Amino acid sequence: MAPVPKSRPRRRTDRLVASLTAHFFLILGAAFILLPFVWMLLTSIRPASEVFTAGFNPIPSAFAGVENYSEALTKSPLLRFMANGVFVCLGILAVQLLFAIPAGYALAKLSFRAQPLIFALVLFGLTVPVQVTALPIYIALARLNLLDTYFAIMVPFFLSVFGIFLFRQFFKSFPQEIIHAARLDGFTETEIILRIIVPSAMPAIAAFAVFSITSHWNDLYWPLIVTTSPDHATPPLGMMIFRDQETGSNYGALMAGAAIITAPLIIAFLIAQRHFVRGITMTGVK
Amino acid sequence: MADLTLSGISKTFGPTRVLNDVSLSVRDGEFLTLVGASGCGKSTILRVIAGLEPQDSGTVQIGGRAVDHLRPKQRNVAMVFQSYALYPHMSVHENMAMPLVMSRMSLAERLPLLGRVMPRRREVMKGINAEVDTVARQLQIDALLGRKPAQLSGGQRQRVALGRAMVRHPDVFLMDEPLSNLDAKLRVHMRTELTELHRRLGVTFIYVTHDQVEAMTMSDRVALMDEGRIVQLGTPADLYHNPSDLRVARFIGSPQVNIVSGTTQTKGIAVSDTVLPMQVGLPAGQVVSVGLRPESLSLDIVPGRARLTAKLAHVENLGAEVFLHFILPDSGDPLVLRATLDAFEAHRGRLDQAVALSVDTSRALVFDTAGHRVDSTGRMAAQRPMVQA
Repeated sequence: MAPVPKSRPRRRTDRLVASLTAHFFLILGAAFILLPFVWMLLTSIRPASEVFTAGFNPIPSAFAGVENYSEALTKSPLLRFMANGVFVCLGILAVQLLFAIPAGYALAKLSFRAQPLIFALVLFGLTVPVQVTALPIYIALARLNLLDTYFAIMVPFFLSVFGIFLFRQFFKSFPQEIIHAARLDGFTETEIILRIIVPSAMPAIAAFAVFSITSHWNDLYWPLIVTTSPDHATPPLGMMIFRDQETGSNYGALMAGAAIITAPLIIAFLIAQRHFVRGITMTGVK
Repeated sequence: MADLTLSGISKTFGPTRVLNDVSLSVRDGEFLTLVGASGCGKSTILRVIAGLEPQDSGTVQIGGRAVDHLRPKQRNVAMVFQSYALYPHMSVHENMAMPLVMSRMSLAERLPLLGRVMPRRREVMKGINAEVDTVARQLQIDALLGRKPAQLSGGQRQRVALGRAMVRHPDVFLMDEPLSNLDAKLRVHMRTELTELHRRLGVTFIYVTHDQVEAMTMSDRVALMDEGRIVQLGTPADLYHNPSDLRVARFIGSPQVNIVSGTTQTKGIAVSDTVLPMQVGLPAGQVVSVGLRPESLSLDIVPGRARLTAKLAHVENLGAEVFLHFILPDSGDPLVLRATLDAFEAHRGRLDQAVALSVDTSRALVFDTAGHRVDSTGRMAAQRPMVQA
């Protein structure tokens, strides 16, 4: 047998071990995050009698998906909740983009005297938790008689300092020479944003949209404070009302409802994922 | 077409003074190059002329009219950028049409959706398309009009950027190192092409570069800048043969001018083992720098010329000519000599020992310790109408 150079297989096994270790931790982390989802899906097709039986049986004894899902869809206005959720999320996102993109552009590319101060305030704004401002905003909405409206659910999130910060960071790397060229060609600043900046900022917009939609679709705290009727309830709040009033302890149907309201987010993320992951590509610049 | 005048332009960025009282007149149709090391303020001048950066003080006049209060597009200047600055998501055609769309259509007409139903738009667009096609044919990029910038090579992007500047028929072309992103071969080619373009258009060009070869080969006049000031303004030949300042002598010319230190004496300037017979009007005993261009030295013994003894260190053979790198034995100063291949071959046998090099003192340049030119021709040069000392 020819002597085999020792270093090479050694290195290969080293790499294998490293890769296995990395995958082990990734799988562990993924399992930790995915297990509740899997359990939710399994429970949503379990017969009601089986939900509280003792022991750990991952596979349902009988398939009760049809009953559970139809109960979730018929006994509660689930589609109404989801329509509310879509309306609220898109409303918030639209206004956020409307303010955050120009603000981010101004902070990244224009020079004016108060710029450092305003940027500092934006950073400061990032540190203020939503709960801090909840009470004053609630009182203001109550005085204005606006409680229990779509507007009340959306208004605290219209100005996203996170969005301003994200777009500012993204626009910072946009080549100044292209903006100079656009000014020489006669673009107004608004046109620069709409025709030059926005088309090249699609990855950032997609990333921000994912953050924004996920957090507001899933938000329970604020809708719970400002809405009382199911008319304006967003999906998580709707689920809560649904649990209290209609189903009591029918966890199968509850989980079916939860699965239905989670689905749009997962689908939306899968669609935006490519943009989201691709990140920043500036073609044709250099 | 227009002449252009800068008077007393100053500009500071924070604590750094980028432009220091710069004044400059550019004649109508002239090709003027601003050359200097990076950070000397040459690109800032272009941006001030274009209106992209406001100056702290001073005035810009284009065609005899002050433009300081005008927005960039109202100044009717076009700029070609180092990175070309093409709009990445637009086709070549859209890129080139953009300046015309912006100047000929109203705000409503250029709106993405509403604009389509505006009555005049179609007709205007037709005119714009025809003009874009004409310019594209001139630049031989008509086959590329449908492509995006990312699908083009560096040279093609360069042409598109030129085309975008040409369609608007500007009074002044501003070029900010347009060739520095191209490979060496293409750069040489584009040099000729830009010069021809300038001749054909007859428009004022202001061209910024850090490459002295571009400055020397393309320009009518060259302004050499350093630390936010214009050190010397003149024809390329003027800057080469008659630099007013040591910085100019060093920057212009390749290989670089040889600088050897010397001391003034009553009979001339003592350099190494010889005395150069030159009168510079300085008292004896002053330390000066003597600039000798590589072609002011020769291997042949010329009667009546001073001779410097030096030792050969290195030979660069370029084919038609040869650069011989010598070292002065006492000071260790390097000395480059430009020789024809024949001259090199004729003297080759004796080059392994220290040899005497003839010095053409009529072309030597003498500078004082502050870097100012002090020999007679230099003083004449200093008295010329110069924009700035």
